[in-house]
Amino acid sequence: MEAGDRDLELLARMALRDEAAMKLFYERHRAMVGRLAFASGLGEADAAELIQETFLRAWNAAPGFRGQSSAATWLRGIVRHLIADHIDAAVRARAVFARPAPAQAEDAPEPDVPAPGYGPDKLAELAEAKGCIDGCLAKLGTLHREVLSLRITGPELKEREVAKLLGVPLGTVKSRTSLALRSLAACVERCIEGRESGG
Amino acid sequence: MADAEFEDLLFAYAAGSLDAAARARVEAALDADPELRRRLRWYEAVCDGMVARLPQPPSLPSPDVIVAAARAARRNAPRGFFAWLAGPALRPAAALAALLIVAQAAIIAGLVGERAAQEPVRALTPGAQSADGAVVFVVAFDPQATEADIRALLLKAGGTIIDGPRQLGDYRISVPANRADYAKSLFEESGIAEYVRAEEAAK
Repeated sequence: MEAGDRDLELLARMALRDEAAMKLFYERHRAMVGRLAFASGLGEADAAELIQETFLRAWNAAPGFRGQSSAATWLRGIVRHLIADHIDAAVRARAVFARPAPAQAEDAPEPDVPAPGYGPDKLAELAEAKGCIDGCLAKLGTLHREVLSLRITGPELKEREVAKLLGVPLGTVKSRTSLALRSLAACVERCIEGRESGG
Repeated sequence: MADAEFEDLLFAYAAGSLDAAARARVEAALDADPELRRRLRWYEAVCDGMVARLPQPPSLPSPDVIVAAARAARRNAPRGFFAWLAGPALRPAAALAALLIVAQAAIIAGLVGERAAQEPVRALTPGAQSADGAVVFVVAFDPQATEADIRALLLKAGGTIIDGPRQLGDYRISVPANRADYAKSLFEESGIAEYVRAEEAAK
């Protein structure tokens, strides 16, 4: 059974108020939710409360889950909005300042020529190569890693807030995100080809 | 909407940063376009990978604490048929019912009104494809199938029960037209559906 199918089954059982399913669902996703909660700069007690609240909301909302996204994406939306709602400006600032300092321009120049775009089938294929994705994320240039990190794991949800933090215009946040994703896709593609050719 | 803009929205959806209105817009687009779902898988994989690179949490609540909280919430929640009726699962059915009532009212008004000489009102028929682009399947489930099995199958197929169980124990299930073939094969291969057919339009 695929991971997605397993989550669908657990959420369907949670919708029927199956506590055993809730326990399994928590065990599958607690690390992801916990990482986001602690990375937000909350203290241990507050983070634990936020994790509990996230899964409680998932429990209550399970009957409405329609399966358009993965369960992890759905949970990410819940926990990130809880973080944004709950932490105050001081905590946000701590979380942001705890991150690596913005890179110098020469550290990771933004390429003039964008990496190629990919069709849906190719992207779905790349998405399966988890090991390559991990390796390529580790190799991302600082500017690209920074924008993806802020947009995926940061305490700010709005792009204009991310733009303010980076000190760049809103359009640059979007274009830098797009470039980061494309260069990541190109790296993952090379990684897959390398594996297939045994290199 | 420009492609680049929508791609950014899809990425933000995977990152969990969209507000409810933007999320609903993306989900409507995902319902209408299976290709977008495949693109979403890439963004989800990137987001999963970025989160996995964050430091491990120093401690996490035990599963028992989480289950106890859920149990307490359950004790305080409304119960039974009326709670289910008011729940989100039936919202599409409620919207369809409201639409049918309006359509029926329009038909009746047309029949009894003073404009009988005009072109008659044509009733909506339970067709293979309705005006909103949904396809209706008639499905009979194995009596041994659990409610959880059926719910999981409907989630995967993107289907909503709009009627049933009827006298013969079957259900009418509405599926977005662009997912009809996929849903049909899912129903047929599920092992819990004894009978599957697309409902034909009344002539």
